[in-house]
Amino acid sequence: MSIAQAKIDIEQYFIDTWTQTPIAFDGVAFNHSGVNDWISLKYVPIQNDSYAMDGNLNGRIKYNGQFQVFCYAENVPLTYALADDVISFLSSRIVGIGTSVKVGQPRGNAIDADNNFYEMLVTFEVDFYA
Amino acid sequence: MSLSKEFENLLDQKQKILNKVVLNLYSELVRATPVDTGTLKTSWELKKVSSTHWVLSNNMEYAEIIFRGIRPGVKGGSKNLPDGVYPILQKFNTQLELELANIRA
Repeated sequence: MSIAQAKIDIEQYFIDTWTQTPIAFDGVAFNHSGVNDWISLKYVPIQNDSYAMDGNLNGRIKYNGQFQVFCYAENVPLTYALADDVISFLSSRIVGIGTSVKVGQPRGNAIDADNNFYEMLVTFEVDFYA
Repeated sequence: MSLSKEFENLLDQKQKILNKVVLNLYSELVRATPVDTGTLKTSWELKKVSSTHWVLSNNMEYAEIIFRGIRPGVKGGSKNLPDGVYPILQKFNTQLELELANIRA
């Protein structure tokens, strides 16, 4: 459950609070025809660590992962602006029941993705303790 | 041990950790790079600029499209690297931070 919890927390945060663009979720069909911009969300679990205080490995576990937000818009400046908005929206937040999100990192520049849309990826390091 | 000797020892330890993590990262990125013609895999370049400054690059024009991973409904990505390279970078960054923190402990 804990590996999934960070993903659930952040996706729920977007569902509840993000109103700027449509959202595409992993594994859910999404059709971007007729929209000017959208974001696409993905969570990648990376590593779990024991945080036992007494060294007997019975303490808390830190679940570490990466939340990826792909930003799509019709031109390069709009794509950069959307990525900026996503970084402001999610950076340094604690969402859900205790998922802590670090500052978002832009990855590369806006690239021509498909059908005249440009794409920019923003990644967030995520920790969840259970 | 004198203070200056201790400082030198600390720098030496840091450098060894950095070298180890950078070389492991380089190996992991090369290993994880999908192969079609092999050009992308062989385009990784690791350059040591100074004792604490490394540059790791891949100058293939389509590298960014492959390394960002697969997105449904959008072109690009590779099924052999569906999550892209950025989770790998995060993993090694965390490892570097932990190992450097352990020097101080």
